[in-house]
Amino acid sequence: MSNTNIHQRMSRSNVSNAIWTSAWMISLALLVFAPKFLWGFNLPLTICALGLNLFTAYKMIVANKKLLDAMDELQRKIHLNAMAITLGITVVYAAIYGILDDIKLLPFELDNSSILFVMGPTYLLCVVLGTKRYS
Amino acid sequence: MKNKFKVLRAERDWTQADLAAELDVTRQTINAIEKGKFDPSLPLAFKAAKLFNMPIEEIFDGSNC
Repeated sequence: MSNTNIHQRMSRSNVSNAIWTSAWMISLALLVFAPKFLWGFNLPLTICALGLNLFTAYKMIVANKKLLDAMDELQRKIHLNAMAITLGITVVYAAIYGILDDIKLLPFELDNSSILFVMGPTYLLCVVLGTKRYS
Repeated sequence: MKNKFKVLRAERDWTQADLAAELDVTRQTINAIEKGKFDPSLPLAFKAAKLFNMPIEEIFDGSNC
């Protein structure tokens, strides 16, 4: 246990998480757009961009884990519940994702990244409801 | 689980924030424990018992567990 209190630990972990999440998003944007618009699909530069993206992704995951460790037990319970529900919904979504347009339930084709738009709001909603439940 | 957090805290004239700082948790956690919405872990329960200088079973009523 460190000498800092929970608010200091949470604040530090939140900042670290925000920094590495931002870095990962920027590196992802670089990987998506730069090969075409900046360096004309130069292979070594693209591999460097991929490496940078994987590195920032690793740091983001570690920062997220540290944020969870910095929480107190009630906050951790709320977030773990949210993660469990998000995982379940993501599995269900992923299972039907591929067949929605095949069986003509959707008039358009879904993009792979749409899964992020299911996970994000689900997680956020679960955290808000969990927090409300224990307040 | 029922507990005497609120009474013990009031006897010492502590706010929820004071108790939260002593136990190194958030005020929300103290509030949830006092209302019986959240049962603390064993380490937190022992920490509270040590802080209040009381046996753990005098703080928490485990009869309905």
